[in-house]
Amino acid sequence: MHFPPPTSAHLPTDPNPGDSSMDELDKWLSENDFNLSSLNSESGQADFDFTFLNASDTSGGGGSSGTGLSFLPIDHTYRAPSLVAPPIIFDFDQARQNNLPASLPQVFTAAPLPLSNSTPALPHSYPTHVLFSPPPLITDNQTLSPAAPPHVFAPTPLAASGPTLNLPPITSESIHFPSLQSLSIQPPVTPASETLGTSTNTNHAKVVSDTTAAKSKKSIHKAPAGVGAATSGLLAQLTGTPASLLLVPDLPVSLPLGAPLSTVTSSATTSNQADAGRRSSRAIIPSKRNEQMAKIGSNPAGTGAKGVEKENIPPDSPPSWAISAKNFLLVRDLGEEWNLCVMAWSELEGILGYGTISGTKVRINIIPITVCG
Amino acid sequence: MAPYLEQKYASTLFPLQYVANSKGYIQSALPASTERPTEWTRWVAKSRQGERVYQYTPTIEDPAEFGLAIVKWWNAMQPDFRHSDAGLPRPIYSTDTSTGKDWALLRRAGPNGLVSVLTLLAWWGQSLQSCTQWQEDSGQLWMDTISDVTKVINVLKAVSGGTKNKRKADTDPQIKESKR
Repeated sequence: MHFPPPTSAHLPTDPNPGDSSMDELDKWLSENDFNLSSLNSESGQADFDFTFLNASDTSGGGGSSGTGLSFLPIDHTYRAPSLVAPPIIFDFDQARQNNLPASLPQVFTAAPLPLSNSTPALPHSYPTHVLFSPPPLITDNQTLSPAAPPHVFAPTPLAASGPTLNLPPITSESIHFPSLQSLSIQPPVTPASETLGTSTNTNHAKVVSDTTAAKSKKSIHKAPAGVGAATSGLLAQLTGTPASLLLVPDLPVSLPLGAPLSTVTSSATTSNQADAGRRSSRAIIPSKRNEQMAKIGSNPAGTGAKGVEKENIPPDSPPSWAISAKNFLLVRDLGEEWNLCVMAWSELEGILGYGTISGTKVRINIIPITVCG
Repeated sequence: MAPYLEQKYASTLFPLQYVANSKGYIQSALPASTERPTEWTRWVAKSRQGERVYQYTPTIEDPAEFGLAIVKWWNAMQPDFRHSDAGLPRPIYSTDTSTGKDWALLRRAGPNGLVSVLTLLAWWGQSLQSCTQWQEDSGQLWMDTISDVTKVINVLKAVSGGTKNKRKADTDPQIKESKR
């Protein structure tokens, strides 16, 4: 996966961060039909408090000038999962340390998506992690245009997305930001395993601790398994709510986000089949288990072969020993008289039945044993 | 031991043979086994699964001595009226009192019957072909033995031809009725 180099972005800001910049942001939002007050139905005002964030070190680094928001190429940077979209680069550590005042709206790398009626509602099957898909990359010299603000909630084309979660459409009513203290985003958790078929890593919502979020932030580049944890950590830092209170569904490990659904389903189905395919791509050898099982209890063919041969022997034919003996006796020419002798013997054997006729037996008279003395 | 003594004290000298005969088993071996040349016993012991190894015959170093052993054994198994003190048996094949029972000891069929005599004679004749000039020629003795054996076999054929005594059918009608 290719990660583009970190870039710095500049928003139209005022050199003196404070009310002027806030006014400028309000102006920009109003021009773009942004109504932040509509997000908070209770207080009727925007309660975005990003005091814990510091957009950048205004004094230096990254080649930025002024007080504008800049993204610095620092080693400890957060990168959004590359499987979703081009990575977002944001220095949370730096932001936490600097702790910019709340009046700085430049914390947004891009203006929030106007959640108005003009905004197309997200489909039901839109995954939750797409909510935090990174905005388009901003180069150093590129200035964000209020007319075309990057979309934080830019939807990813669903055709290329793999797992789909049945979620309600995200509209201005569905996203609720009551307050900073009681903010807890609980996305509707659907039984994703039913939709995804087989997944070793369940999609159930789990409570992510702060340490887990911190670890996942570092390991987000390696495995997509910590996307959910990283998301919860991101939410925790954005909202100031302890991450332990956030319920973020974890994403399956083995399912790439950009893979088509059909491919994911087929690969997940065949993963449990040991002999579904051979790595040599040769044809699968059919099993002979049933044939071997059918032979159990049956007599092997050829067991009675010798018996059949014995039964087929004519009764008057000489046995094997007689044939071999006669062949040996006649193998050498020992004279005519010898041949006559052998032929006479052969005839006598035939008369006597080759030793099987009782006429060849001789009974010896039983003599009682007497002990002398 | 003389043949008549062997037959008289057979139950004592050969208990296994005695038991077999007492139960009516077929005695197919030729008599006077003690006089039988040892080459036969050694060769038979090399048989595998009842098949005798005819392709490996014993080497006869002295055909004359081997022939004398065969003649001695042949003389020992003959009936009483054919016994001789040395050499071949007497050329007497029938007497006025002789019956088929006199030839019963020689009427042996099967793999341990007369084939053993003929096999030994074959070895003897084969050894004569490789006999050197410094060895005693026993060819004439071998020819005389062959002639004597052939005559005895012919007598056995004549005697054994009528051995299958069939019971005559009962001609008396009263006996037939009583059997039914």
